[in-house]
Amino acid sequence: MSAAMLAQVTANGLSLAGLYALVAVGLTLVFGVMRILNFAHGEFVMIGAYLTYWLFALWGVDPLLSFALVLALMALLGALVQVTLVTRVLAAPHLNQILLTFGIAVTLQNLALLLWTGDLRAIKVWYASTALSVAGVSLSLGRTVGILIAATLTVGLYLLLFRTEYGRALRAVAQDPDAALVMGIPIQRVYVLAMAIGAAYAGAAGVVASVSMFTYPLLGFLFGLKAFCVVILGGLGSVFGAVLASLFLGLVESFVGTLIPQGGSWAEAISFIVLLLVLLVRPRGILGLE
Amino acid sequence: MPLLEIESLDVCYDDLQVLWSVSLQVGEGEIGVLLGPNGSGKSTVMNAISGLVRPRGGAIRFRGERIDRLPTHAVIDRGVAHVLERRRVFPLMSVLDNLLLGGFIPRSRPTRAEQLERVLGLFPVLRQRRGQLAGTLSGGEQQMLAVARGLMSRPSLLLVDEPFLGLAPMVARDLLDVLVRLNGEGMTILLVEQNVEMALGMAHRGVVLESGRVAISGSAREVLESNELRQAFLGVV
Amino acid sequence: MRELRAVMGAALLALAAMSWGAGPAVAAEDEIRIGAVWGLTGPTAGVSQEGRRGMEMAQELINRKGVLGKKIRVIFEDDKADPAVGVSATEKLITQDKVVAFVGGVGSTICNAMLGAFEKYNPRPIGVLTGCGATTIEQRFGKERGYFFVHPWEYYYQSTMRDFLLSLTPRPQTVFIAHEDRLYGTSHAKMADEYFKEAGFKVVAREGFKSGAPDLTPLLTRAKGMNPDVFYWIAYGADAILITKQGKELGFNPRLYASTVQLGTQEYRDAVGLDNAEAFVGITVWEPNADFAASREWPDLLPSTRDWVREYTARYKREPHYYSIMSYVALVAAAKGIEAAGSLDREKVVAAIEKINTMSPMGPLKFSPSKFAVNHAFKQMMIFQWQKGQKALLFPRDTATGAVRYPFPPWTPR
Repeated sequence: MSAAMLAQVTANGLSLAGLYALVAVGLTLVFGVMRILNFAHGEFVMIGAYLTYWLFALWGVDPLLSFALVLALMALLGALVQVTLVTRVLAAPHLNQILLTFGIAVTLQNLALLLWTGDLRAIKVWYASTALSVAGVSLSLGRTVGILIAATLTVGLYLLLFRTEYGRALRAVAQDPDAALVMGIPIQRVYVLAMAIGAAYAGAAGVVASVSMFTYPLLGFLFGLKAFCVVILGGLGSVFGAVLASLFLGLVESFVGTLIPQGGSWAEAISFIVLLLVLLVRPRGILGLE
Repeated sequence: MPLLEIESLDVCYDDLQVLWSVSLQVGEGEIGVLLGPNGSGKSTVMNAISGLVRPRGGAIRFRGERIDRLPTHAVIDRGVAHVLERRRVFPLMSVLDNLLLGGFIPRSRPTRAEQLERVLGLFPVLRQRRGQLAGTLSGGEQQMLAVARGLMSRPSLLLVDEPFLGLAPMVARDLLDVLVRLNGEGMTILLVEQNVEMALGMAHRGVVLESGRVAISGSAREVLESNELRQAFLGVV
Repeated sequence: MRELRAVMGAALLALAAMSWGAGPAVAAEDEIRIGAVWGLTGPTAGVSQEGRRGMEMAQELINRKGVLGKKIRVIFEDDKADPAVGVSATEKLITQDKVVAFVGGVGSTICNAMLGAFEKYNPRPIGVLTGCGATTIEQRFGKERGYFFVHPWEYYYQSTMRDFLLSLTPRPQTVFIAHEDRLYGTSHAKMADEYFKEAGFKVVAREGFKSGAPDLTPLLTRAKGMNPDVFYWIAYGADAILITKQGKELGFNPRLYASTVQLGTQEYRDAVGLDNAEAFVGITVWEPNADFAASREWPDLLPSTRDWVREYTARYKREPHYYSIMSYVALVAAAKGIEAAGSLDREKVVAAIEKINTMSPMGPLKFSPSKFAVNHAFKQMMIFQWQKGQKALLFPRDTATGAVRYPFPPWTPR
């Protein structure tokens, strides 16, 4: 294999990893803080993608401009879902929590189908599928911007978690909610914050998807399973584990898919096999701590 | 007016009632101690005060104000600190982060740096360990951290739940000294403890719980000398 | 880990709850119920919605006069492109709704599963089916007279594509075949492989991939590395969009990008844009710019292509897809069969549909044997190419409306 090919396959893998990370980080954050697996997380991605699409289709707002707005709207949606629905099941058995978030997912899917039909839609901006050619390696401008967004947001989250008062409170809640309560941390507000951040992240993934891929009501399915895979591989609740796992899966899928015959069929199976192997050796995932 | 007044407190977990009409008082500047065998409801009383559990009936007053309907952060904000049973430090955070979290509430933030110095002065070992993850401390150090973290919010009432459990005698002695010293500086303390002699030796008041009901209540001396205590709790006739 | 198991268990439960679907329909004696199972959501949603529109339009026009003094009611069910969901929808329509016939559908994987479910009932339901293209289905179920197939078998596609490739100058030498890796894509790809090799083309690879994957750069990078003359793929709408976008991103410039029917949707053109769709080649059963005369027998229901397209476009404010007209004509055929039979008696209805022989906006409507099946209609296929946002018909030559743009103009500079 030539060096250019190697570079190309690596670039493809990193680009996919960026997308996975954007989806997975919010999911793992919400789990870490609330111990709730949000089955509607993929649907948040879908809603974010549609918001971007309609802002573009109706008012011609460029995704780069609408990005901040979509993040804010998605944070609002996340907060709303938390305050009105998820709050009620925080103390309930896991089954109830799962049924609730699953119900939210199905509702959002059907709402999208009703409002926007099942048509696949994509945003056509000049940079969507424009190729940057660097030393024989073709990079998608749209996806490169996506990776930059993913990296920026991850650094942003790091700063929030490790450099602010509220971030410290958020980590405390994740480690021991009762102890956090007696520190005087308003834990319900922290939950709302976590869900808002999780949803905003999903929205960011939606922005990237609507530009570099397409959106449709079941877009969440496309990412949902993979995001769970990433989150479990990285260690439930670990943000940096999720980033590492995204990188790992993105690269594995890219190399397997490109270099092995019938790799496109195998890539997904291989990522599940990798997941199983890692879990056999480290049941808590790469960075999972108990 | 007592600083803390609990009146006819009933607490249930789902359908299981664990406290039955519990009443007790702790006056300003006193050390109160809650005694009783395992499962008698001592920690539940503490949790009800800090709002971690919601009472089914009765009242809890702090400085005369009802606090039994307030969320925990509001109770903490009024000057109560709760050092939980089994230490419960944040294991994946540094000692310093743990202490800073103790001073999370807005009231204590402006003077947090000062208070940090004071607390590190009380527990010099924590100063050496300030950058270390709390989960890597020894049991005694974790307990000191838990108490120190509770002090960071400058409470006027400190709830301490079984702080000496599992500590080496020397370490327990040090911790006891600190609590007595704090009390000497005017801090009111409510302590849950199994070691009757030690607890009543330092306390002004004692309450003995048995199966969720108050069995004995009175001054430390009264409690120590009561026959019921010997029978019900120490198992000595 | 116990938490995880609980999570998985609950997820399965929730899925099961979802698949129950709606409650039983109220039976009414003054209507003739027709079952229609489409992938209204999921990867085949685009085409399914086109098909649904065609059936809704047919239903309304048929009901202006009614059939045997009754109204036709089409009951739509969603298979989510999942065969298991399709089977439970089918069984619900048979046992609860007691439909007279099944009309429509998309996807061989689903169709195969549905026909498998039909086998369990006696008598078997009548089907005027638009979703079956796999030859395995033809071999397995083709002998049944009550199944009327109105979708071309895959070999019609692949022989048409082969003949088109042979007509190009300079003639391409190497072909990379990519396909979605379930029944539809796999069986088409196998057929294409055989036909192309017979005709002297070199098939450099036949690669399966997961339909609906969020990233196809591994497939395209692999193909680019082999530098084939033709990149030919068989998959669904979402994949076509991604292949176009990512082919451009990777600067992959074969001499020809060709695919099958999924490339022909307005959805595809809108999602990738006119300029990116330019020069992509697809196969179609029918196009709105085809020109067929009205039926002599039933001109009200089967007008000329031009009139039908005008009516459809006025209703839905969009171009019809071939699935729109195929499902439209299929429902008309079923209704006319029931009408001619004079009752809902299965044997009479089947015999009456077999006797239909008329012109339609889709071409001559007549069921005749194919390689393995007894009743099959519409055997002609066409090759189209996106040119400035329109589908130019290139092949066969006698019905062509434009000249081929070949070789493919490279992505840069464009």
